Amino acid sequence: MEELTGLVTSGVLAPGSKSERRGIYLDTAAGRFVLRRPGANAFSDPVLEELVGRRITAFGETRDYILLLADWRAVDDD
Amino acid sequence: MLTTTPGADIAHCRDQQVSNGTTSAWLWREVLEETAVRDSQRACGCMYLNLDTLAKKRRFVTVRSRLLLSHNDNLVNNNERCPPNLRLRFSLGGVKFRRFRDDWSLSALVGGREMPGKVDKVIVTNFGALHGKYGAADANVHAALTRWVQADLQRGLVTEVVAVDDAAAMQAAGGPAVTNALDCAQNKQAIDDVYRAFAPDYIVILGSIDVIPHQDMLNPLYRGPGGDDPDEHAFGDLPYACDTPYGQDISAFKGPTRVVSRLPDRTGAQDPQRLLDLIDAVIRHQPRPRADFQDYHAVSAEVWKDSTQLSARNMFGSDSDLQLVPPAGRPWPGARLARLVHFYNCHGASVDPQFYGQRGTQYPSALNSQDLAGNVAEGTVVTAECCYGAELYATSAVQPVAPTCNSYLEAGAIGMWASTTIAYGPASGNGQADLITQFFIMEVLAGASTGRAALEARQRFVRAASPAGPEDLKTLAQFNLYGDASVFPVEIPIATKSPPGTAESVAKRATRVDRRLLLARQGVSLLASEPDLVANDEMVSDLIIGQLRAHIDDERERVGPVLGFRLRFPDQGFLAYSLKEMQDASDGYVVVFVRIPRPDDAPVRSVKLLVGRVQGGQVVRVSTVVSR
Repeated sequence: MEELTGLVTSGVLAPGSKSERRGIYLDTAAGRFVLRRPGANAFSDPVLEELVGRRITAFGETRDYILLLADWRAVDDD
Repeated sequence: MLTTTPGADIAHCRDQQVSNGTTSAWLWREVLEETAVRDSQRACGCMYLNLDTLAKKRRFVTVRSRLLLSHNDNLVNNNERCPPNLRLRFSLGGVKFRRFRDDWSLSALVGGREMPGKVDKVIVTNFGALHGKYGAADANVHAALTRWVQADLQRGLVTEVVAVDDAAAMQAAGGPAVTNALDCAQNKQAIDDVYRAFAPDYIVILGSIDVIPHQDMLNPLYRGPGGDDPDEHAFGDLPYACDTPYGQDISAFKGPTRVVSRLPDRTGAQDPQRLLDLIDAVIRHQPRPRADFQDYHAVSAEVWKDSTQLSARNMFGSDSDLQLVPPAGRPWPGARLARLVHFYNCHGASVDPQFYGQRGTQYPSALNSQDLAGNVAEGTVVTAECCYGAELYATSAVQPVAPTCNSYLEAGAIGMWASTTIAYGPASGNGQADLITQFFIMEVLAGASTGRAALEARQRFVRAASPAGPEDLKTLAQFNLYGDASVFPVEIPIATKSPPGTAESVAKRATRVDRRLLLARQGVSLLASEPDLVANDEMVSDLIIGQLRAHIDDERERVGPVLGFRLRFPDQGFLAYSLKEMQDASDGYVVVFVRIPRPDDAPVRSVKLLVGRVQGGQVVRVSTVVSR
């Protein structure tokens, strides 16, 4: 299980493709990852939407540019 | 001369031939007498031997045995020993046995030329990688391979199994063994060597990407991490179907010549049972009448209704049974999933076992791979335009659900044609993923093997897209066939008949070889004639951007990243001067990512990809590829 801390942001994912959509990202010191919760809808996940704008520590697996999220906790910004 | 009689113990022959070259000559003569009289024929200047007969009669022709006929320095003219009714001249000799694991190989020179003992199909795999996954249980895979080869013989196919990591086997094929299972260049060279050694009509890669990797072609639309298209590579098996040596430029692989598929186990699997079941399903497979494929299971995201209707009409002659998601959605009734041809034009995501529909900002599930077991009929053919529909991701504690492609095969599908990465399609009409999927299904329904359908789909797509733009090249690279390339899902009556005394398998082989030669010539022609596409942002000018911007019909839309690609035509001296002039003016493509600003809480942004065909420094045609 990997652990990454960063800011949850949103943006266009795969624009122009058959599956272009709004993606939820985790911007970390190690780079930008697309956040995904296995078992949830990959194209519209209200749980991840709720995290946009927050800093979190994410626990999961990275697969190329994707971070499969097993769990997370909020991080204080101060 | 050895005096062993037909029917003598083969092990005895093996022992003696090691030290006595005449033994092998005898054995080969006996093979000729037993097979060629009944099953040889002259066709197009070649002679075909029915090695099925040979294999059935000789226990040594089993899995991992070799039937490679090759040059030999010790030729023996054995014409006088040929049966009198065999009118072909045999320069016989050069019979050479090589020890290959536990079996024997046979080589010969026939008719004064190298005449392959016609290996029809080669299964390539990596025994070391399989052992690494399954340990001692890999013996079950070896046993299944033996069953598979024997079943192929019953179907009239001589099949070889070659492990690319087996030094002896690869030496026999004329190349080095693979020492790193994940090395794309090594695997590409190994499969090229195997192809040149056997010239098989079918190549089947056994195992997932941790046994033999997908090739790592570079995605021409990738512009670094965080770019608009996140796929650095357009992974796929396309290069294995091409004669071009290893490389990462997709342009070099626009002339496929070989029939190639992959029968994948699960990436990272530790229990071979699912792979054994896949092999046994292939062994059981029987073609079905065309009428059994009349009903189809076609599913589209609602937003792509118009495009999918066109695809359905092209493939099935009707779109009346197309299911739109929403309002429809999973789970599908068992009776629908039991239909023999499945088509999806839906969303997909990486490391995700689902496909999705779309209406506005809703993305309801159109399929979950867990829906398939127990509902898919054996012999089903599947194609999916969905992004990542052919991604062979490994399951894990975090993502325990298997990919759709693995699940479809494990549920009974005999072939699946889908994309490893993000796929593209036009806003209206058909293009890119729409075309390459429907070309595949049309060939299958016309009676092609799944492997030939894939090769024909690739070639037809290159012609349809000519000159291919960057999104076209990615499409060509990313679509892969999973399953055994040599199976025929649809049984079509054969128009020709075999002459008396000719085995049906020989006649089929001759016809198949003719088709392969044609496809090979066409592939070579495509490679020689179709232009390369070279990234070149310098060709992007304000004029071109302005011309493309004119196709933005919504004032809220804005121009995103702009990419330039220059066409580089091969030098073809035979072209008329006027055509050369046109080629010289054929600049290339400029791609604009177009976006519509939306509130941050909007789950989807409608984005267009404008692909401008540029000639003489100006845009002459614009294709709109809309995000789906």
